[in-house]
Amino acid sequence: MGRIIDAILVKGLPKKDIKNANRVDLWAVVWAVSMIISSVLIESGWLTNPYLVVAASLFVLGVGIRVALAYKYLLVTLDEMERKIQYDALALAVGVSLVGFSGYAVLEHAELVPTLQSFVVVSGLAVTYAIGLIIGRIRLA
Amino acid sequence: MINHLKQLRGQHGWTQQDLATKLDVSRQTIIAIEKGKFDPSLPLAFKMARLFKQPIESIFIDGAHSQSL
Repeated sequence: MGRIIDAILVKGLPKKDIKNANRVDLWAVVWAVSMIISSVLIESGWLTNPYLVVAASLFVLGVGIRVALAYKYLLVTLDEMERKIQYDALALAVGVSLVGFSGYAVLEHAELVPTLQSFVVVSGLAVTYAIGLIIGRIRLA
Repeated sequence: MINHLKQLRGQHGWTQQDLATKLDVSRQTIIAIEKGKFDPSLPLAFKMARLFKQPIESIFIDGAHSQSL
Protein backbone atom coordinates (compact mmCIF):
# COMPACT_ATOMS: atom_id res chain seq x y z
CA MET A 1 0.00 0.00 0.00
CA GLY A 2 2.88 2.34 0.86
CA ARG A 3 4.42 1.78 -2.58
CA ILE A 4 1.12 2.68 -4.25
CA ILE A 5 0.84 5.91 -2.20
CA ASP A 6 4.48 6.77 -3.03
CA ALA A 7 3.71 6.11 -6.71
CA ILE A 8 0.70 8.44 -6.59
CA LEU A 9 2.56 11.22 -4.73
CA VAL A 10 5.65 11.00 -7.04
CA LYS A 11 8.15 11.71 -4.28
CA GLY A 12 11.59 13.08 -5.14
CA LEU A 13 10.95 14.74 -8.50
CA PRO A 14 13.21 17.73 -9.26
CA LYS A 15 11.60 21.10 -8.41
CA LYS A 16 11.38 22.18 -12.06
CA ASP A 17 9.36 19.04 -12.90
CA ILE A 18 6.98 19.66 -9.99
CA LYS A 19 6.55 23.28 -11.13
CA ASN A 20 5.84 22.19 -14.72
CA ALA A 21 3.45 19.46 -13.54
CA ASN A 22 1.59 22.01 -11.39
CA ARG A 23 1.29 24.25 -14.46
CA VAL A 24 -0.31 21.37 -16.41
CA ASP A 25 -2.69 20.69 -13.49
CA LEU A 26 -3.67 24.35 -13.29
CA TRP A 27 -4.43 24.57 -17.02
CA ALA A 28 -6.34 21.27 -16.85
CA VAL A 29 -8.51 22.66 -14.03
CA VAL A 30 -9.18 25.86 -16.04
CA TRP A 31 -10.06 23.70 -19.06
CA ALA A 32 -12.44 21.47 -17.05
CA VAL A 33 -14.11 24.47 -15.37
CA SER A 34 -14.52 26.33 -18.69
CA MET A 35 -16.04 23.18 -20.24
CA ILE A 36 -18.46 22.70 -17.32
CA ILE A 37 -19.50 26.38 -17.34
CA SER A 38 -20.05 26.34 -21.13
CA SER A 39 -22.12 23.14 -20.93
CA VAL A 40 -24.24 24.43 -18.02
CA LEU A 41 -24.86 27.75 -19.77
CA ILE A 42 -25.92 26.00 -22.99
CA GLU A 43 -28.10 23.39 -21.25
CA SER A 44 -29.81 25.94 -19.03
CA GLY A 45 -30.66 28.10 -22.05
CA TRP A 46 -28.58 31.12 -20.98
CA LEU A 47 -26.25 30.77 -23.93
CA THR A 48 -28.48 30.69 -27.03
CA ASN A 49 -26.75 33.14 -29.37
CA PRO A 50 -24.84 30.98 -31.91
CA TYR A 51 -21.95 33.47 -32.01
CA LEU A 52 -21.56 33.26 -28.24
CA VAL A 53 -21.75 29.45 -28.37
CA VAL A 54 -18.98 29.42 -31.01
CA ALA A 55 -16.96 31.90 -28.91
CA ALA A 56 -17.36 29.72 -25.81
CA SER A 57 -16.36 26.62 -27.80
CA LEU A 58 -13.28 28.42 -29.17
CA PHE A 59 -12.35 29.50 -25.64
CA VAL A 60 -12.61 25.89 -24.37
CA LEU A 61 -10.62 24.71 -27.40
CA GLY A 62 -7.95 27.37 -26.78
CA VAL A 63 -7.56 26.38 -23.15
CA GLY A 64 -7.46 22.71 -24.20
CA ILE A 65 -4.61 23.47 -26.63
CA ARG A 66 -2.82 25.31 -23.77
CA VAL A 67 -3.16 22.14 -21.62
CA ALA A 68 -1.66 20.04 -24.43
CA LEU A 69 1.25 22.49 -24.91
CA ALA A 70 1.93 22.61 -21.15
CA TYR A 71 1.91 18.80 -21.04
CA LYS A 72 4.25 18.61 -24.05
CA TYR A 73 6.66 21.03 -22.32
CA LEU A 74 6.46 18.91 -19.15
CA LEU A 75 7.30 15.74 -21.11
CA VAL A 76 10.23 17.35 -22.93
CA THR A 77 11.82 18.73 -19.76
CA LEU A 78 10.86 15.85 -17.44
CA ASP A 79 13.25 13.57 -15.56
CA GLU A 80 14.03 10.82 -18.08
CA MET A 81 12.73 7.85 -16.07
CA GLU A 82 9.50 9.67 -15.27
CA ARG A 83 9.22 10.55 -18.99
CA LYS A 84 9.47 6.85 -19.88
CA ILE A 85 6.76 6.09 -17.29
CA GLN A 86 4.55 8.80 -18.83
CA TYR A 87 5.06 7.47 -22.38
CA ASP A 88 4.33 3.89 -21.27
CA ALA A 89 1.17 5.05 -19.48
CA LEU A 90 0.04 7.00 -22.56
CA ALA A 91 0.67 3.96 -24.77
CA LEU A 92 -1.33 1.78 -22.36
CA ALA A 93 -4.21 4.28 -22.25
CA VAL A 94 -4.39 4.62 -26.04
CA GLY A 95 -4.04 0.86 -26.60
CA VAL A 96 -6.65 -0.16 -24.02
CA SER A 97 -9.03 2.54 -25.26
CA LEU A 98 -8.66 1.53 -28.92
CA VAL A 99 -9.14 -2.17 -28.22
CA GLY A 100 -11.84 -1.67 -25.57
CA PHE A 101 -13.94 0.85 -27.41
CA SER A 102 -13.64 -0.82 -30.82
CA GLY A 103 -14.88 -4.03 -29.14
CA TYR A 104 -17.70 -2.03 -27.58
CA ALA A 105 -18.54 -0.53 -30.98
CA VAL A 106 -19.14 -4.04 -32.37
CA LEU A 107 -21.51 -4.83 -29.48
CA GLU A 108 -23.16 -1.44 -29.94
CA HIS A 109 -23.60 -2.12 -33.66
CA ALA A 110 -25.33 -5.41 -32.77
CA GLU A 111 -27.54 -3.40 -30.38
CA LEU A 112 -26.44 -5.52 -27.43
CA VAL A 113 -25.23 -2.50 -25.41
CA PRO A 114 -26.41 1.12 -25.11
CA THR A 115 -24.79 3.96 -27.09
CA LEU A 116 -21.45 4.96 -25.61
CA GLN A 117 -21.35 8.39 -23.98
CA SER A 118 -18.29 10.52 -24.79
CA PHE A 119 -17.54 11.14 -21.09
CA VAL A 120 -17.14 7.36 -20.62
CA VAL A 121 -14.43 7.33 -23.32
CA VAL A 122 -12.60 10.29 -21.72
CA SER A 123 -12.95 8.80 -18.22
CA GLY A 124 -11.70 5.41 -19.48
CA LEU A 125 -8.64 7.06 -21.03
CA ALA A 126 -7.91 9.05 -17.86
CA VAL A 127 -8.31 6.08 -15.50
CA THR A 128 -6.16 3.77 -17.68
CA TYR A 129 -3.50 6.50 -17.91
CA ALA A 130 -3.50 6.93 -14.11
CA ILE A 131 -3.26 3.15 -13.59
CA GLY A 132 -0.39 3.03 -16.11
CA LEU A 133 1.49 5.74 -14.19
CA ILE A 134 1.10 3.90 -10.87
CA ILE A 135 2.16 0.54 -12.40
CA GLY A 136 5.19 2.18 -14.06
CA ARG A 137 6.34 3.89 -10.87
CA ILE A 138 5.94 0.72 -8.80
CA ARG A 139 7.74 -1.36 -11.46
CA LEU A 140 10.76 0.96 -11.55
CA ALA A 141 10.82 1.82 -7.83
CA MET B 1 22.91 -3.70 -18.13
CA ILE B 2 25.26 -3.97 -15.14
CA ASN B 3 26.68 -0.77 -13.62
CA HIS B 4 29.08 0.34 -10.91
CA LEU B 5 27.18 3.49 -10.04
CA LYS B 6 26.56 2.52 -6.40
CA GLN B 7 30.26 1.79 -5.79
CA LEU B 8 31.36 5.02 -7.52
CA ARG B 9 28.85 7.04 -5.56
CA GLY B 10 30.06 5.38 -2.33
CA GLN B 11 33.70 6.19 -3.18
CA HIS B 12 32.77 9.87 -3.46
CA GLY B 13 30.72 9.76 -0.25
CA TRP B 14 27.61 11.01 -2.01
CA THR B 15 24.05 10.11 -1.11
CA GLN B 16 21.57 9.13 -3.81
CA GLN B 17 20.00 12.59 -3.45
CA ASP B 18 23.43 14.26 -3.86
CA LEU B 19 24.04 12.37 -7.10
CA ALA B 20 20.50 13.05 -8.31
CA THR B 21 20.99 16.79 -7.74
CA LYS B 22 24.37 16.78 -9.53
CA LEU B 23 22.84 14.98 -12.52
CA ASP B 24 19.54 16.94 -12.45
CA VAL B 25 17.39 13.82 -12.20
CA SER B 26 15.14 12.43 -9.48
CA ARG B 27 16.38 10.25 -6.61
CA GLN B 28 14.04 7.55 -7.93
CA THR B 29 15.96 7.54 -11.21
CA ILE B 30 19.26 7.00 -9.37
CA ILE B 31 17.70 4.18 -7.30
CA ALA B 32 16.30 2.49 -10.45
CA ILE B 33 19.66 2.78 -12.30
CA GLU B 34 21.59 1.39 -9.32
CA LYS B 35 19.17 -1.54 -9.07
CA GLY B 36 19.54 -2.15 -12.83
CA LYS B 37 15.81 -1.59 -13.39
CA PHE B 38 16.32 1.42 -15.66
CA ASP B 39 19.03 2.05 -18.25
CA PRO B 40 19.95 5.75 -18.55
CA SER B 41 19.96 7.59 -21.86
CA LEU B 42 23.27 8.17 -23.62
CA PRO B 43 23.39 11.89 -22.62
CA LEU B 44 22.83 10.96 -18.95
CA ALA B 45 25.46 8.19 -19.15
CA PHE B 46 27.95 10.72 -20.58
CA LYS B 47 27.05 13.15 -17.81
CA MET B 48 27.81 10.43 -15.24
CA ALA B 49 31.09 9.61 -16.97
CA ARG B 50 32.14 13.27 -16.85
CA LEU B 51 31.09 13.57 -13.20
CA PHE B 52 33.06 10.50 -12.13
CA LYS B 53 35.90 11.23 -14.61
CA GLN B 54 35.65 7.67 -15.94
CA PRO B 55 34.93 6.23 -19.39
CA ILE B 56 31.32 5.11 -19.89
CA GLU B 57 32.34 1.49 -20.43
CA SER B 58 33.92 1.34 -16.98
CA ILE B 59 30.64 2.47 -15.37
CA PHE B 60 28.22 0.49 -17.53
CA ILE B 61 28.79 -3.06 -18.71
CA ASP B 62 26.58 -4.70 -21.30
CA GLY B 63 25.22 -7.77 -19.48
CA ALA B 64 24.51 -9.73 -22.68
CA HIS B 65 28.01 -9.01 -24.04
CA SER B 66 29.79 -9.96 -20.79
CA GLN B 67 27.83 -13.25 -20.67
CA SER B 68 28.82 -14.13 -24.24
CA LEU B 69 32.54 -13.65 -23.53
